[in-house]
Amino acid sequence: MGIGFVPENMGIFAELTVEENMRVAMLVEDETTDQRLERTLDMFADLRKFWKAKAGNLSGGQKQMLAIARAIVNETSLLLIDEPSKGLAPILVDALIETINQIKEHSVVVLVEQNFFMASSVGDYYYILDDGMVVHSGLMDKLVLDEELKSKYLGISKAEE
Amino acid sequence: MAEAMFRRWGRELTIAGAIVLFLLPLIGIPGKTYLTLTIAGLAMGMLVFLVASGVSIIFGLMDVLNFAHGALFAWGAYVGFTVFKHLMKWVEADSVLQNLAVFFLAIVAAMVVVALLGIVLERVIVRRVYGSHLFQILITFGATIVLVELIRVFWGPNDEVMTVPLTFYGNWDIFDIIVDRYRVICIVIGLIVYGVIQLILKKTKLGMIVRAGVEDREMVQAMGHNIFLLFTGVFAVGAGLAALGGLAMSIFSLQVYPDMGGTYLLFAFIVVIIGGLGSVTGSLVGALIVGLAYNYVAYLVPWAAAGVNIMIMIIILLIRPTGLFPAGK
Amino acid sequence: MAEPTPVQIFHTEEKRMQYRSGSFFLRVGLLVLFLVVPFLFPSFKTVDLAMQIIMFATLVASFDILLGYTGILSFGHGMFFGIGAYCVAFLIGKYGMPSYFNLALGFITAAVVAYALALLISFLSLRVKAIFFAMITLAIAELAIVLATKLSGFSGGEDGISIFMPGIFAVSFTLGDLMGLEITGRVVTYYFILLFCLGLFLAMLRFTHSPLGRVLQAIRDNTQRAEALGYKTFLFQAISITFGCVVASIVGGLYAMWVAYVNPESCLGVLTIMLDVLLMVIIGGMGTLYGGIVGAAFLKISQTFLPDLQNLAKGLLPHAEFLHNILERWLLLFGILFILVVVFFPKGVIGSVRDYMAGRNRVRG
Repeated sequence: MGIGFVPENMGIFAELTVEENMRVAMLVEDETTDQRLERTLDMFADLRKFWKAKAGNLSGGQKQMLAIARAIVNETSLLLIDEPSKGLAPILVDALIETINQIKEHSVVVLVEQNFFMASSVGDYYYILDDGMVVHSGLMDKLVLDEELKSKYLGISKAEE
Repeated sequence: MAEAMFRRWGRELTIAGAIVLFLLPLIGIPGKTYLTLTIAGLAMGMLVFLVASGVSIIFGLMDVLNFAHGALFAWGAYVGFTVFKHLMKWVEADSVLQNLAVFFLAIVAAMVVVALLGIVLERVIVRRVYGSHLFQILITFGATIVLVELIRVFWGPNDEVMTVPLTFYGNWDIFDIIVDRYRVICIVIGLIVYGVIQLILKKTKLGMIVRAGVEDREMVQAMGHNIFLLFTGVFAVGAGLAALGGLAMSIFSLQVYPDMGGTYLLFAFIVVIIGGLGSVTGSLVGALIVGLAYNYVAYLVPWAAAGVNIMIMIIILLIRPTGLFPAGK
Repeated sequence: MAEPTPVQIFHTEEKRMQYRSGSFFLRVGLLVLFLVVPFLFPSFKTVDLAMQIIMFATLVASFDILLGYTGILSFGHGMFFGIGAYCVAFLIGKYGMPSYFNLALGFITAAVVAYALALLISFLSLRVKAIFFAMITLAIAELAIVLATKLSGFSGGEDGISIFMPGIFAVSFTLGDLMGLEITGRVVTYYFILLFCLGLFLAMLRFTHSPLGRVLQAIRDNTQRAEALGYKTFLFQAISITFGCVVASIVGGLYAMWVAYVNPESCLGVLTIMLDVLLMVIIGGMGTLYGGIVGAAFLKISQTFLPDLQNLAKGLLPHAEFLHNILERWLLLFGILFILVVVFFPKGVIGSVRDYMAGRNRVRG
């Protein structure tokens, strides 16, 4: 299908091990997917370390990594990520930003985020939603510079940045 | 303090408590009788386990409560009965090989027929009522009635005698303890089934997907798996297990009758409550508890036998409603 | 006195209009029909049919309070019916003499036992998910049958208890002729039960249309939200269950009066009473008390004429053995009917009619 999905609550299977989580995610298991798995694990060293551990015992940041790893282990052309920074410590958010920037090289990423810092560090285009409708869109570079828009829709004042 | 301790060690405490309770009758019953009862209880427990495991996984994965499981149980027995009837020579032969062969054939026939029945049931009826527990109960209740009545149509309304393969009949004498052969066979069957299920669940990819689905059905679907195919498959397997249980049970009690599913369905539900939804191990533990309790009480206080398991169920509901081995749902 | 507010005017108008609407006439007509049945169709079979419809309609309505209005499926309803029947039978028959006092006492006992048992059941079972509640009630119902059969010293066992009615209800009683009909104890009993059931039915209507009833529907539709709004759902569900079960037991007592015989199979049996109730409530329509009347009428009439249907089929197609077999197994037919109705017609007759009417009214604007 080519679409990867990381839901808001991460959706990892707590009772299964990291290995099992990854294997469930892999729709096909052959040589190419094995290679992809290796590359994915290269990106997320922690997962390799905790390969046999129960997913429920991972820390919040690691769970998030697992959730994303699961989504990209298949050949995805589109990746949907829903509020991944929620509940993560700032240093983890940094790691997350780095990860998504790497993923951007292979897939299109649609990211839903409330954390503007994260969104702006990662996004190329933006769409602002209000009441279920897109009220504004454009290049991220432009949005970063647009104080008026930011304070109107995102509640960000110059002082906060 | 006690509450917190119970929450953490609840499961272990309950099992320990159960073991203690089960050793209690030794005070009142002579050792040999106790052993006989224990084996009978374990055997009965295994049979209930076969039915309960199906119900448990089906509910855990699909969130569907299948009231029709008892009818599938009965169908399994009847199909087996027909196989025996046509191959009566092998059943009555004094040859382990022939007995095992016809037994095996009966098992295969029963499981396949009932699994097919299960597939039809799932696709035609159950699929329409996903999401509404109320309608699931109603519709599977109706399905039970239809299935049981169809038994009456095809096989007649009377009780029939089920023959036991010759070499399965009788006792073994082990260290002066009389052990019923067939009961041991039941225990062995149960253990094998449990082992196979655990193997599939833990070691195969399919098993992982099922376990993942029990935890979070939607996520598995979002990952691209065909959850509906999985549902049908699991339902069919559950049905097959019930059939096996029914066949084994009919040989155990030497009879088949159309309503035989009813009592065992009740036991199965009690087991699922005690053991926890979606957990096969829970079903096993719960089933053994139910089987043993029933047999001990039946010996000591006959009229209370039916009620004791309901009491256990009520107690579990009061102190640990999710069961002994909840599957994270 | 202050000027009536627009809302008050609306309410009074609505009440006045109610008495002129078509459905009101329909209901009154139905009541009149039941009133005159003994005069117009004095044969025992017809009167019995009418009586069974009336009693089961009330029973089904009481079940609907649990199922349709509170959203709780209990397989134990038949048991409460049986308990009522047995209580009356005990007090008039096995453990007492037929007398008005004992009769009344029988009903009171039935109500009290039902009340206590219903409270117990709701306390134990409302803690768990709906499906477990259903299972538990099924288990308890089956246990009740086993107890009634096994404890034969206490309950009369499988053979059951035959009873005789006191005074004006007695079979031998007669008041003489009235408009061509001999007013026997049977007739008196008929009207007594009819009026009693009417009273119960009106009480249930009042219950569901009261603010309490509204809360129950809210709980049924969205339990969590009702809780969030501050309603103690458990309390309301318990009230609803006890009310429904007490009514069921009273109907059971009335049943005992009419049939004059109780035994485990006919009064407590899950496949006998409970299945019928389920069929009736589904066919009639859940969440509509009147559905009980429709369902009861449909089922009882079908059951009465089923043997005739079988004979008809035998006459038309004398060689279709398989068909004969299937028709013989009327339970099979009802099972299939049940499934079909649940799948295709879940709102039942009354429910669908109401939907249709609502749709029409909307179009009219």
